[in-house]
Amino acid sequence: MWTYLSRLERCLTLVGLSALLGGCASLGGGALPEMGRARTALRAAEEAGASAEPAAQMYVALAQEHLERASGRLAVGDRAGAVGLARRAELDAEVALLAARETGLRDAVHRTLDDTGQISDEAAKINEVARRRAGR
Amino acid sequence: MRGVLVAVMLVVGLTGCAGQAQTGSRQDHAVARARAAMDEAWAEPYASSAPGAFAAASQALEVAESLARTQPGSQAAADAIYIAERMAERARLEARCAAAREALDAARVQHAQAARSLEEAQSRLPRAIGALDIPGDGAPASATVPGESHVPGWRTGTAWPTDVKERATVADLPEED
Repeated sequence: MWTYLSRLERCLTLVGLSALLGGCASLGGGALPEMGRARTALRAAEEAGASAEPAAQMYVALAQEHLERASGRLAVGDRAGAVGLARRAELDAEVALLAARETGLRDAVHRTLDDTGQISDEAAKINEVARRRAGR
Repeated sequence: MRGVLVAVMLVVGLTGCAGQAQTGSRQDHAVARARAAMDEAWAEPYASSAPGAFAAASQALEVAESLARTQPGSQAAADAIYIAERMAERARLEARCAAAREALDAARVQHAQAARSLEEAQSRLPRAIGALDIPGDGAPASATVPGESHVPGWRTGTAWPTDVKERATVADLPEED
């Protein structure tokens, strides 16, 4: 069919296709770097266990909601609105990640101190046995 | 007819102004919340450990305050205020993470010291048994010391159990009297 088209028609077809592809790309989520960053931040928060951490769950939910809304805005061509929502989502996800990380660090501190206490107790018990035996 | 039209226009205008004022008031409240979040972040003892996050949060708060003044009720102002509040929270959490990391480092040092003390104690104990001529050739030494039957015997020279529960059964001593 391509061979039957005149040169002008071919040019017009190519221009139309390019415009169509460009339009589709601008509607896709990948077109906005802010949305890509937000998705990356959300993935990092989820991988850090933020979804299971009560202190971080709210922020994960907010990030997901803002990302969905950003996609909706982008779909109707509201780029500025989508950028604003994507930035919100990114920061929500970053806060979620830090909240989960802080809880993890605090838990690690408590576990380490608990174990230290047990080890110290046992060392004291052994020392006591040794002292008693040496005294006999 | 003209009077009705003027009245309708007035009502529409007043409703619009009221809506704008309400949005502006909501944004003022949001700005105040972002400021409070920033103050809370600065109150963290380890605030100086996250200078980048605090600088970004302070800058975001300035932008938000400026937009709330110059474009009250706008979407740009609302986004900026939201971002400023989250950045303040992020700065606070960065400071808290820095504090927790330092606490973990200190806890690990304590743990290492305790582990060394335990090792030393373990190494002293077989010598104490040896001094009492307790069989130390690998034979079980049950009830090795008279009057200390609550301390089960163990093979001299073998490592003290590494498992906490196992240790507890081996060294189940009464409290100091």
